[in-house]
Amino acid sequence: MPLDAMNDLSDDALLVLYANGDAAAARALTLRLTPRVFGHAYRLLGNQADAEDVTQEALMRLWKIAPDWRQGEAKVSTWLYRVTANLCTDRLRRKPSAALDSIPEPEDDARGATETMQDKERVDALHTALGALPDRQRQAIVLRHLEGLGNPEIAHIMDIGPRAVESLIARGKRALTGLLAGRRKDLGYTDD
Amino acid sequence: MTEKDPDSTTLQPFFEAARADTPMPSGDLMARIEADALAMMPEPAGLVSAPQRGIFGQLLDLVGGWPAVSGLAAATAAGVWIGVSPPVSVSDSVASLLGQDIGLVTSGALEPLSGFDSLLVEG
Repeated sequence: MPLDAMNDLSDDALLVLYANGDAAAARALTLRLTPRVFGHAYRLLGNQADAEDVTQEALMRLWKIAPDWRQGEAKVSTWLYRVTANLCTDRLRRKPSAALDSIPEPEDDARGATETMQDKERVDALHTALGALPDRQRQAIVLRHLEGLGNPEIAHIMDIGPRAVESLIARGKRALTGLLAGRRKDLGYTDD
Repeated sequence: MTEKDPDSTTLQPFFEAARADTPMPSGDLMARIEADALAMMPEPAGLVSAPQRGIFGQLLDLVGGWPAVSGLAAATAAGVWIGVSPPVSVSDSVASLLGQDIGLVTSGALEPLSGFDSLLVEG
């Protein structure tokens, strides 16, 4: 089947084709899932090299489980978010946690830099602040506010109830606010 | 929704900047993952490729297999046998079918110059 024709197929259907030895399905799944997994890993880890390792490992697990995948029982994306988060948690536990002091200070001439540079600093500040949160709060915040998932799906990924998701997000946002509030002015935001 | 609470107001610009800055995987990572996928892909189930047949095998298939070949061989042998040693009934039936001339051919009484003798004398 041509690659274009696979755009309309669900992740589930592609995985079944892959398990039956369809090389085009392997390529379609790689193109579709790698950016999603990498993006999630990068946002949880804040590090390109670690995020690449986690992405490769998460997808390796998917290829391995493909022959036993039961279509319709779980969403491939949900399963991948869960595996990716677990791999990221393991990796973070092996490394010393990011110190709050490591949030990068804007350089003196940053005010004259382009808006792109300023946005990059804001993103870096957010990633560093996210790194200071407990694992579960970070995961819930990233899934809700950066990946844009709804609470029911987040609850499914994290294997908790929707109310627990809301509680994690609320606590995580409060902690983030404390970490980033002082940076708003530095990073070009004005309180209005 | 909770977007109006103070935490959301403070964090919203950071979230917007982070959403706009979608991290993309490198081409090298994509290539490595595709290689993993192809290397770990199961073999197609129940699709065992047939062994390739040689030119003789293909010709055999063309004429209809060994039963057809044995029929052809029997017909060839019968044809040779009839040609070398024709049964009397065959000669008679051919003669009656084609007329008297065939009788001359089979009896060996053919005169190759018959009708043209005078031309030879005058030439």
